[in-house]
Amino acid sequence: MATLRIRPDIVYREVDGVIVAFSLESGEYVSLDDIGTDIWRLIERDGKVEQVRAAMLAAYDIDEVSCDEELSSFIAMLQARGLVTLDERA
Amino acid sequence: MRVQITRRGATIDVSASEMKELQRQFHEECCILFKEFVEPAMLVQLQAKIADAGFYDKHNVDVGDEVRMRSDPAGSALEFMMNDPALHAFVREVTGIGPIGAYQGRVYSLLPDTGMMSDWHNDMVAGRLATMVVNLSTAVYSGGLLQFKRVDSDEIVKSIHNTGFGDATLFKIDHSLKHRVTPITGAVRRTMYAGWFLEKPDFMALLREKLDAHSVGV
Repeated sequence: MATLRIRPDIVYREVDGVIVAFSLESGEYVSLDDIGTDIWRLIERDGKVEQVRAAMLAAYDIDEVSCDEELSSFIAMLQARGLVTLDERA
Repeated sequence: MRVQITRRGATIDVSASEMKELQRQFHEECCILFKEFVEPAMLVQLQAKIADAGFYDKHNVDVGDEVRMRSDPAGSALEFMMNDPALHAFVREVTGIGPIGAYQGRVYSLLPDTGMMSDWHNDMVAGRLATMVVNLSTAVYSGGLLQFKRVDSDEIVKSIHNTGFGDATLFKIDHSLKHRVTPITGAVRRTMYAGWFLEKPDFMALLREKLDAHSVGV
């Protein structure tokens, strides 16, 4: 089961109700929106992509296909910005 | 008691009696040492970045020479962590200072065999409310004592050897007090993140401006 992990060189906290993350590697800030913040909290708690997907389906009025598309795109963004790593084997 | 800046934000766990003792130390002894103020895992990350960062010579008029880190993500990360509202609220409660707009600091080193030091001075500049200095050194240095005295006396009233990794000192800015850092006596450099809690600028307002261009989500 694939697992997401927040990289150890990321500093983050909630600012105005959403996660703001700073990367020591890139020197850039990233601010997530409300849903992104919910997903970040799920990654923090467990990180298993299947668990994140299940939680999203339970929490939002969204079909499975849209959920998969949105989640893939969000994970790709987090990876591209160096915020998380994705371990496909974990 | 736990007072720590972590990668997830500041952790402040202080009982009422501990708070009372911190307030007493600050007001009567002018300085408090916080052990492991920087979360150890984050400290390792910061030290690795600082080791790769460039430093330049800096002369501080009437104080002394140092080498100062150039602009680097490690400095920005420290700034983000130090400007946590929970930490500001804690510092205000301990010190009794007014509203904090920001903490601003710089990473600098005193190098061995150079005579680098900070001579007696008082940090008194408009808008500065209190000083905090975090030890980012990667080994235990010798010398480099932080010392305090009254302006009208040569007697050292407090001397702190902040060599614990990630430990921090919080001290008073006052016309009646001066402080200095003695020269390094061994072979190990002394690297600190030093700065002040300030009335302004408003860090959160500046952060929101930066974030406007970087907001992303699902």
